[in-house]
Amino acid sequence: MAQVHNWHLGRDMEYPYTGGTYDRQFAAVFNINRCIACQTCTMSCKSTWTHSPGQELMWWNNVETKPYGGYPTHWDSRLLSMLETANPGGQTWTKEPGPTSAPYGQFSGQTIFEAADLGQRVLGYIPEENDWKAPNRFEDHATGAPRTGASLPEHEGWFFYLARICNHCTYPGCLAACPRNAIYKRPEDGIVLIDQERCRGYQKCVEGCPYKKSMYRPTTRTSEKCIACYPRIEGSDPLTGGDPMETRCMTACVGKIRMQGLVNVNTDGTWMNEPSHPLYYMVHEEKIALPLYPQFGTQPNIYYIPPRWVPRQYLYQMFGPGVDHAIEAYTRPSRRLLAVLQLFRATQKIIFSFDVEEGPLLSEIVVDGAPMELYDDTAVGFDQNGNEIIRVKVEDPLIERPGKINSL
Amino acid sequence: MTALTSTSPRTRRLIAIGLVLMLAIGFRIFDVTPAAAQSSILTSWSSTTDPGLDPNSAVWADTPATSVQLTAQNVTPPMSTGGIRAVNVRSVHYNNMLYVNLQWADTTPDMSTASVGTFADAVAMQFPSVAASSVPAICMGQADSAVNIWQWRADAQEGVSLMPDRGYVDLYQFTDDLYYPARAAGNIQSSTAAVQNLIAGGFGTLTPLNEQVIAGAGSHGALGWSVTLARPFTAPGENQPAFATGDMVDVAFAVWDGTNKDRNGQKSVSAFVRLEIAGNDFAAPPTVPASDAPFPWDTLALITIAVAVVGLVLAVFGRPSDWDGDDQPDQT
Amino acid sequence: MTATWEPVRLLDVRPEIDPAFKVEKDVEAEDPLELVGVTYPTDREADTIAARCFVEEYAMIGWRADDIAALFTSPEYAALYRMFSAYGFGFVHEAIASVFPDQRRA
Repeated sequence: MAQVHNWHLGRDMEYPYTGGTYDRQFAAVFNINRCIACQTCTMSCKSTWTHSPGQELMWWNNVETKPYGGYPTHWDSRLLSMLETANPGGQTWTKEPGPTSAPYGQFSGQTIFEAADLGQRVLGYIPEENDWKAPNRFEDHATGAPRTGASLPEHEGWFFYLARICNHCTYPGCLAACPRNAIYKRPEDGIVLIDQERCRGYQKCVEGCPYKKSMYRPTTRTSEKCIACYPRIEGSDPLTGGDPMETRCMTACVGKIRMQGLVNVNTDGTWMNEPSHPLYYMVHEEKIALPLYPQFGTQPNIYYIPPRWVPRQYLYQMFGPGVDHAIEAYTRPSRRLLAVLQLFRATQKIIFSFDVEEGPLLSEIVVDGAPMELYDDTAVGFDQNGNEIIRVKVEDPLIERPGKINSL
Repeated sequence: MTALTSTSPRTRRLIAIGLVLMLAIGFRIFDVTPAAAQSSILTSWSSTTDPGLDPNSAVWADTPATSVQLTAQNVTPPMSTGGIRAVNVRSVHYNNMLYVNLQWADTTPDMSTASVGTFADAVAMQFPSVAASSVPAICMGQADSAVNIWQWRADAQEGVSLMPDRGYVDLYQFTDDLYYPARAAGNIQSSTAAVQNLIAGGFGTLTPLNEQVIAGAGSHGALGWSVTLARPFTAPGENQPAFATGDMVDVAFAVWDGTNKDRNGQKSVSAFVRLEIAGNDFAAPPTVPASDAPFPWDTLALITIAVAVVGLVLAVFGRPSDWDGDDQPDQT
Repeated sequence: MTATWEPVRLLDVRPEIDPAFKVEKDVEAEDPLELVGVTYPTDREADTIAARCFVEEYAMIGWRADDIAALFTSPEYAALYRMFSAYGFGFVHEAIASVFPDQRRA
């Protein structure tokens, strides 16, 4: 076992392999406050990659309703309870949030690697087939119906939608669990893939992935997983003329909740200091986006802006100690952040850096009881060569159609 | 010491004893006969009838079995929780083809991996890849001492019919190999090959060989599996063992129980044992004692050495002629 | 690589002629096959909060006050329209004014 640095946990941790050096990391920010569970992301992935025999139960992208839903069923509750059994009362965060190398403090509990059973590399369980058969179970199911209904800042009865894909973790559980190195992480973009020639269908990756995004395919007797639409990331779609493009699930998002990109990483897995990179800005500067279940220890690379109305205890368990700050910073966004948020789904091309051109004062509004000034700034997105690819204003453009366009 | 320098009868005795001593040492060092160094516990008998691949062939009923003990694999993760305790091995060869029949107790046949999270029963035999090399110290071989593995899986011949049994399908848009990436990549796991011919040189290095020359079939009865594996004595390439009548071959076994979620390292394994490819059939009169034990060349060598050493001591120092210890030759 | 094994189709798929694809399960008489909505009780206080949040969110993506108000009176926005139907124009004006104070009517 090697020691690697996990900046989500703010400490070093055990992992079967030493960290690899790689150039960029596939990462994304999902704004849960905006997700409407239209499942367009789910269907776009399904119709692209998992529509053939043996893949019927595979949903590389899924949107589940929390707290009761999950695909596979109860995947997170089961693993959390396994960790609690392995380390009762010890799965806690200590220390105050710190610098970029430890922004959430320090996790002093055990990761899935540290809590592994004797004779196994990763703590995990293998779901049964029935667990994979109901991705929409408990959709739109709230936690009870108190007489007073909604309330703020936390709803008494609540639910929210959690859209999930493979997190292309920096220290993947699937990769650690595979006994024959059939899973690898690409150095050029950190995308984690299962080698279809090398896989022998042992399903240790299915057992080892804490997010259960590695799935067995009976018709080939190998396992398959989200491939991060790597041909699009490589720029092979003619639509973008060679520029890297976001994945299918990202670009299809109707609610515009997703922004995906490639961040530059240091050798120890921390992100390079790039305040002009939209993902770095949201994760490390504004700190509004948080990793999913960082305590599992895999350093996942999909970050979530937490839902404002959900009880904080639930959110602490899911996203770590950074929740309070994230919700506060998102509810009353800074001027610059408000401009960056307009870039979500403004273009299919991957934005590598941004700039904000200041604009006139739009209005003075009241948000959450306190005044806030809205400026009509322009957010500009650039590709990896610094060429402008998109510009979006804060104020929604008003387009007036003539009264009668056609006979209808 | 004057006895040593003369050519007395004593000297002649000494020379004779010295020769015997050298002979005895020679027995030990040079492994004079095939059965000298280790005892074999498996024998592949010569058969007069073709057993074929049918695991229930009558030939097996007439062939004696040897029970090989299995233990849970606990050398490297993922480790087994144990399960199958022994496998009964029978072997014959016919027409320069080696047949091995393996039977083990497993009342729950696991013949399908059509469901996610299921695993198939399987059995494998492992030989050092180059016959004359050293036997690897641990299973799955080592980098400088690879092993050739024949693995039979219960699900390999399954013709899978999936969703129509368990659901309704509108349409599969694309079903050519491109949409089964493992098939398009030539992964043997995606084929219906009953037995895979593989090589390994350490944990995690298992790789299919280009020469898929092992035939096999399995049958599940009330108590367990019966599987026959077969291969011609000679096989192409240098990664497989060559067999010949009279050979002593090292072999190890592994069994997987799908009900126990066995796969990969989660299996029950045996140590390496020796398989003798005998020239006679089981029914022929044995040329070795009926106890099936080999001629005890070891014991003979040790006795010869002991006699020689005693004789040498007596010859050099002479028989004691002063039993009563009074420094005078005894009166007879 | 020069593999000598033959990949064999495990599932021969021809949906238009393969009888295995026919529907074998009959429709269950007691299965209504209809959307079942889960009702969630609210009151005016809860709806006031919900409406305010809605206006805030749309304001911060650059919508003007009167465009947001138009959503309440549009039947296509079911939740907002229900609030408007239940509580009337005054409710809508209050919701807008809580975010756009200069829109407050005397």
